[in-house]
Amino acid sequence: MHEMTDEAELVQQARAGELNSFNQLVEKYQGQVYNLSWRMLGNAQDAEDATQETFVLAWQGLPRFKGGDFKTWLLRIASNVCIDHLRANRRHQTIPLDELLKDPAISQLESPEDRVLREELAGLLNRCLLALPEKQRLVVILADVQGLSYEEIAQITGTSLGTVKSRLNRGRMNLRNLVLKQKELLPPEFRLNK
Amino acid sequence: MKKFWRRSKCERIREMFSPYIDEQLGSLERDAVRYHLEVCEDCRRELESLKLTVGLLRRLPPAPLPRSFTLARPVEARPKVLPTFTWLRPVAVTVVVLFLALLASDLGGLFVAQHGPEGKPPVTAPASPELTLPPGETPEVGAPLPEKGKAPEEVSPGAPFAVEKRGLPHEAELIPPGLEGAREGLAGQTPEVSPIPPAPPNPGWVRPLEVALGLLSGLLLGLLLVRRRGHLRRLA
Repeated sequence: MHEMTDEAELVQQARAGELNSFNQLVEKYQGQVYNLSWRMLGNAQDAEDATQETFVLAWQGLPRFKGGDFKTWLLRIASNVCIDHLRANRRHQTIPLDELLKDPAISQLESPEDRVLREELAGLLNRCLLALPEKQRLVVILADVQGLSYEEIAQITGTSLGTVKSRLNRGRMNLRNLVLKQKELLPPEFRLNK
Repeated sequence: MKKFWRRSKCERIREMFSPYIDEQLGSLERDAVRYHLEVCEDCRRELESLKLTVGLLRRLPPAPLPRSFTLARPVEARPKVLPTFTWLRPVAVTVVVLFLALLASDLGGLFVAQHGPEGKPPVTAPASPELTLPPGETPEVGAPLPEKGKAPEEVSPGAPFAVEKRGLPHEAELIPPGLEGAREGLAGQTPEVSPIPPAPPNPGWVRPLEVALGLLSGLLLGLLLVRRRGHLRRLA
């Protein structure tokens, strides 16, 4: 509760033009915004650009912020920025998994030292996420990676709860199907399953 | 048929797996899923694999931050992300105002007044050698039209039209009582028969200019609207 009050105060001060207060909010949420951007775009440089753009747009849009949950508002800006990046740069759009696995740019993400199964698995999941349609990808990331509630996701994506549920369900199913194509990287319980 | 029913039932149940995993289902739907899972081995496997996928996603390590994203200075840290068209709004307003002014002027007859009888000489019938009178002669109103080659003194000077006498009442019948003497007073004066000019059309450039300005206004307003919506969407 105290934290929420602090955040509301920071937002008020930032709206009044205090950059230090805004930067405190940036420090609080930059990890979440960067992670969302990185999972959505699959590229560290694009994620960095998108994160910076998100905070610049947030600073510009603060006078129009009508109150409510600042994190949700910020992640909505980040989602729109990511989708704009994806649309502007078609090469990031839904690439088939087989092609993704062959993509040397993505393979470079894994250094030769990354032999640990967990890291390989994380790489596989990232690649599978990138193979999802962008709307499903966004909902899956917000729900399962960022741990947001359905209501928050509906606010961020500007859709209804029903749309969130169906997109999340389809996204998870598609992701599961993609992951199952790489059984050798999966934990034993996965291999036993299907 | 039983197989078809079973498949569609499974599909309907599988659509609820995500909210079931996240405990977002109502009690009725949750019970329906539980009951179906007890009897359907395929759906049980499907749910288990989905749970594992969600579990893997939730264990994904966060990507390390490459740097801090705090803003250095408020003014300079506000780069314009969208391409700036600062000229767009004033130009759009000017074009729309011009268009409306032109339209109002056209509808109000401004161009007709400016370029009508005062702007141009009135339209008259071409002078015919047969219809001219020698100077000093007074034409007779209501005289019959001269035939070609006949005496020109029967036609009023410069008049494009003449009224045939035939079928009209005698002029004496048309003079109200008490004004008979007025005719004598007017004798020797040339009656003024002014031609009726046809309504002059708009100048030729008005309509194309209206169309061009209208199209340009629509285009510029559309551009403004698209940019505004895009900007609002980015700012949520």
